Amino acid sequence: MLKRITLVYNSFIFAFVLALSVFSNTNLEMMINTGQILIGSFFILVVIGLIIQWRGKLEIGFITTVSNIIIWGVYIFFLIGNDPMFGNARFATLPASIIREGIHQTSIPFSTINYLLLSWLILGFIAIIFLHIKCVRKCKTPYQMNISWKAVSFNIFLAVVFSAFFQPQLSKETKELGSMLGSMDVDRVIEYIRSFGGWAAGVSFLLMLLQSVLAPIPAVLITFSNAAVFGWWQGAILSWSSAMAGAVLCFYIARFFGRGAVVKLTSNTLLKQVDDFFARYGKHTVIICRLLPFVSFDIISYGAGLTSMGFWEFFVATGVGQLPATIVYSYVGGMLTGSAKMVLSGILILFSITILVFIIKTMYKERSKKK
Amino acid sequence: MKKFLLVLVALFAIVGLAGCGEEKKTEKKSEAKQEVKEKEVPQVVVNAEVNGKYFTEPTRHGVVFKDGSNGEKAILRSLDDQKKFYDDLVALGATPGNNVKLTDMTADMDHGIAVDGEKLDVYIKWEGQKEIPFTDIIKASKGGNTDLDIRFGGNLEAAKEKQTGCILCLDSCAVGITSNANYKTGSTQNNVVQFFGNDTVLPADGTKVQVIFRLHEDK
Repeated sequence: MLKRITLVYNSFIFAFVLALSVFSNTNLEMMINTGQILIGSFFILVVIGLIIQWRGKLEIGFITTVSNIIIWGVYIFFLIGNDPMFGNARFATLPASIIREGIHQTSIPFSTINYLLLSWLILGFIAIIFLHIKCVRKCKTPYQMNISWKAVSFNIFLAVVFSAFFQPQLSKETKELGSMLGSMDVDRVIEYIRSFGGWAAGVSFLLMLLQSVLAPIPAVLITFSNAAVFGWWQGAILSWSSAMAGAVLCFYIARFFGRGAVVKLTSNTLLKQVDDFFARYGKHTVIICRLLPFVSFDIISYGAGLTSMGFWEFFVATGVGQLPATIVYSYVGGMLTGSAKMVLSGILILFSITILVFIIKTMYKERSKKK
Repeated sequence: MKKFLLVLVALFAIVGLAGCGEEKKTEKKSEAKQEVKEKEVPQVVVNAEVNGKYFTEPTRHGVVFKDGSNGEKAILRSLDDQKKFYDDLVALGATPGNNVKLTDMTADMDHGIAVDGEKLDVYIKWEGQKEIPFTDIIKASKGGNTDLDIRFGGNLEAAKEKQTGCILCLDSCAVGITSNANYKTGSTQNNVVQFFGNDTVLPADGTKVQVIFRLHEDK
């Protein structure tokens, strides 16, 4: 009973968040019935949740429910509260109008729907508390007592992403940022970073973190811009340190969320072989990949996190591997084109081949010793 | 005794039916008087309800028929069909513009076009409120112009095809039967302006109102 009620309750929260988010985009709201998104997504989430629960793989405990209420409550307030024109007046009409539109009952007053909605949210939560206490005392198998940090982290991450795309003021910034970075125009990026005055270094740092998590954004644009805004060696330090922070973030995202999935999805033998390889040659592999200009920085960071590679090995290899390119890009900046770029790429490839030869030679010697 | 009661019931029934007939006759008489009045002032009246959602949310729809796909997207939810409304405007003597195409709706800010057609004066009234200009019930975002130049855009074929139910749009439109020529197509999509219902003027959500369309008179 507790499992079903918490599933229904949490599904409603997520469905409501989704409907409110879609509603916040005026063009989308004009095109579709957001009430049907609420009802449709609610039923889909409940059905999927029931299927996963029957397989015994889903437990949404009391504490996870509380964390969901807090995280998504803050998000909803951020989304529709403190409106520049209407303050918090939207709370009185917006949720009720979505529900009214979804059930095609436009004659029901907003106040009635708000009353029913609040009653459901409060009484549903009280029911969950009551059943949780009962279960703690009487259930044969203990229910989820500990907080699921993965669920909380994932929810926070999702709330931040939703805010970036749906909160009206933030979504304008996101769109402008996306357009600027997608244009591959260094001058636009330079002007954007400069426009933040004393906060420019902080904004550049955050941009580098953002590009680490969202792989398609090119880091080299930010590196060039840092050199132009702050000077070549100051820009190099900023670019290097922010890229390191981004690499660490990707490493731990993959380690936290992905390693478990990798363990489940691969065979023990294969996983052991991969882990053994990275235990011995992980740092060399990362250095090679960092030196090669055509290998994605972020994918290597995510990939390393999925293996059993030690954090400090990864950190040192990343720091050493990205240093030459960072220094050169910062010093030469946007002037690095044509033949100069080819020469630099050639030198970095040469370094990489040297390290690769060293790895192959070491592996060959070890196999020869075993035989 | 039974016969007496039967007769009594029959008498009551006769009196009651006669009364209804009387009421109907009086209703018809008063309707006839109203029709005579309406003929004196040529106009089209659209019955609608206030949709309180748009007191705090932006929309580009002023009046939309409730059964259209945009029925819940307007400040006023019309109880009357947009196709009948078109016919009524033609019967009033209004000439449709039919100058806005569907492709104009995706125009950027520099390439939108303004709706053309017979200029209309639009008013609104409800119980306890004499008729006031329709512009009084509209609020615009900062810098926006609430002065409406409502034109009979026409667009009957587009209205039949899209079935949106649009009767009065707040910027120029290829589907709305009437729309505002003061803002070109794409104005609201490109965030040039946002329109809201004015909650300081309009009555509460769900209140029945009447929107009145007349041919423009220079004053």
